[in-house]
Amino acid sequence: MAENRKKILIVDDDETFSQMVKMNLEEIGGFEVRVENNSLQALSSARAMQPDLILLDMMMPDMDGGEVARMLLMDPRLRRIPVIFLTGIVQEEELASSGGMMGGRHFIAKPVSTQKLIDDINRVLDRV
Amino acid sequence: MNNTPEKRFIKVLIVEDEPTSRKLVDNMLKAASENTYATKDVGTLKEAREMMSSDKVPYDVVLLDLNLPDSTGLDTLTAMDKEFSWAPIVVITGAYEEELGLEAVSKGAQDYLIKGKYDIGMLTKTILYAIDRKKLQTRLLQSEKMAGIGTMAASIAHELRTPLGVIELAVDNLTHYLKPEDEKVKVLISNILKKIRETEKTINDILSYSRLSKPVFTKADINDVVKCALNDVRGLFLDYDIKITEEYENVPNIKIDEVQMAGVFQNIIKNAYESMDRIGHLEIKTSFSEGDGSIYVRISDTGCGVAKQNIEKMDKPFFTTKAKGIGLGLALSSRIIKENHKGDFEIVSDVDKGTTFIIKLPL
Repeated sequence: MAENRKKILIVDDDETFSQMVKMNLEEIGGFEVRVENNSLQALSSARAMQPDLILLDMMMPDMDGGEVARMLLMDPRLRRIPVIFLTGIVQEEELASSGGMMGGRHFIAKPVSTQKLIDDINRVLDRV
Repeated sequence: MNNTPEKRFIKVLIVEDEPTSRKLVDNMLKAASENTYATKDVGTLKEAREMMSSDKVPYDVVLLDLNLPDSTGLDTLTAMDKEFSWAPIVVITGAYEEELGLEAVSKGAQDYLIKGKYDIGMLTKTILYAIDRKKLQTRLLQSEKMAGIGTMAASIAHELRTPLGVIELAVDNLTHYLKPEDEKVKVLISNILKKIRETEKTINDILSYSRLSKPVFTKADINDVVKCALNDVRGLFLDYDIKITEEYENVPNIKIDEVQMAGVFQNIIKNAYESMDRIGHLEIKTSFSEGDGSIYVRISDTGCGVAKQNIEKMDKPFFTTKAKGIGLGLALSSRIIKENHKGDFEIVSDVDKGTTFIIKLPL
C-alpha cells in the first residue's frame, strides 16, 4: 500500500502552514509529503524526492514561486513534474471562473479547505 | 420622467470684515451672472467656520480675506484649510501684500486676488480655475493614495490569508478525528469556518477596492441585470417581511460590465434590506431620459435612513455606520459607476424614513 502513495513536495516559507498541509494531506488525503521551507533549496529537495506533484507558494523570500517553476522547467529530470501554485494574492472567485487556471498554470487560493486541496491535487495527477 | 439633478449654483462664501468690500464682491458676481453664483458673506473666522460646518450643501469656493477681527495673516488660511481641506480657497490680500498672496498659495490656497486690482472677469476666472484645480488636486492625491493602498492591500492579503489557511486546515484535521455527529462540535466548527469566510470577504473587499479591475463591456439590458442582482440577494432575507415593488421601463440596451454592475446593484439592495430591520418596502425602478441620454436606476427603501452629515461620506472608503463590514462596499460601487462607467449616483435620505439611490448610466 505504502508504495502506491503519491508523493507531494510542498515548497512554502510559512512553516506552520506547510506543516498543516503536510499533516492533512498525509492523514486525510493519504499522500506521502515532504516540506521545504527554503525556496533556494526547492530544486535539490525535488531532485532528492522526485515527487509526483509540487505545491509551490507564489510569494516567498529569496526566490518566488514563479522563479522556482522556471528553474524546474530547465532541469530535464524535474520539468515533467506538475506544479500547483498556492497564492494569497489572487481571490478564489477570480480563479473559480477559469477552473483554477491562470496563464496556463494551476492555482489554489489560500485559505483552502483540505477537501478542495485533495480534489485539485487528484485532478491534476489524473491528467498526467 | 426626467431624473436629471437640478443645475446647481456655484456656492461662494465671502469671508471679509469690511462691509463695502464684501458688497463689492457680491455685486461683481451678481453682475457676472445672476444665475450662476449663490453668495453668502460673513465677517469673522468664527462665523466662516460655523457657516462651512452647518450648510447642508457644501460651498464650492471660499473667498478669504486674511485679516479678520479674530484672526490675521496666514493663520486665517491655515485654520480654514486644516478644518475644510476639501474646499478651494482664494485669498484676498491688501494692495501692498502681493508677497503674502504668493505665500498663501504655497501654503494651500488655490489663488489670490489683490484688493482693488481685479475686475469681474478676473474674479470669475479665478473662482472657476480654483474650483477646477482643487478637483484635480484631490483626484491626484486620491490616485497616489490608491497606488499606495494597492501595494499595501496585496501584502496584507497575503499575510492574512496564510494564517487563515492554517486555521482552516487545522479545523479540517480536527473534524476528521472528532465525532461530527456531536451537535456542540458541529456548531463550534461551523462558527470557526463562518468567521474564516467573513475575514476572507473583508480581505477580498480591500483587494477589490484597491485594484478595481478594468471593465469588460457587453451590450446588455439593464432591467435583466437589476432583476438578476435582486434574485441573487433575495434568498438572504427570506424571513424578512419586506414588500418589493419593481417597475421596469423599456430602456435601450447599454454597454456595461454586467458582472461589476450586478455587484453594484446587489450591494445597494443588500444595504437597503439591512437598513429596514426586517420590515419595510423596497422599490426598484428603471427609466430612460431622452434629455440626457442616460438610464436611471432608482432603489428606495423605507429603512433607517442616513443622517445628512453622513451622506457625503457614504462612498468614501472605510466609512460605515453598520456594525458589520469595513465600509468598502459602496466605495467600490462608486468607483465602478464613476470610473468604469462614467456614470454618477445620488443619495437622497431622511433619518427613519428611508434612502433612495439614483444611479445614472450614460448610454
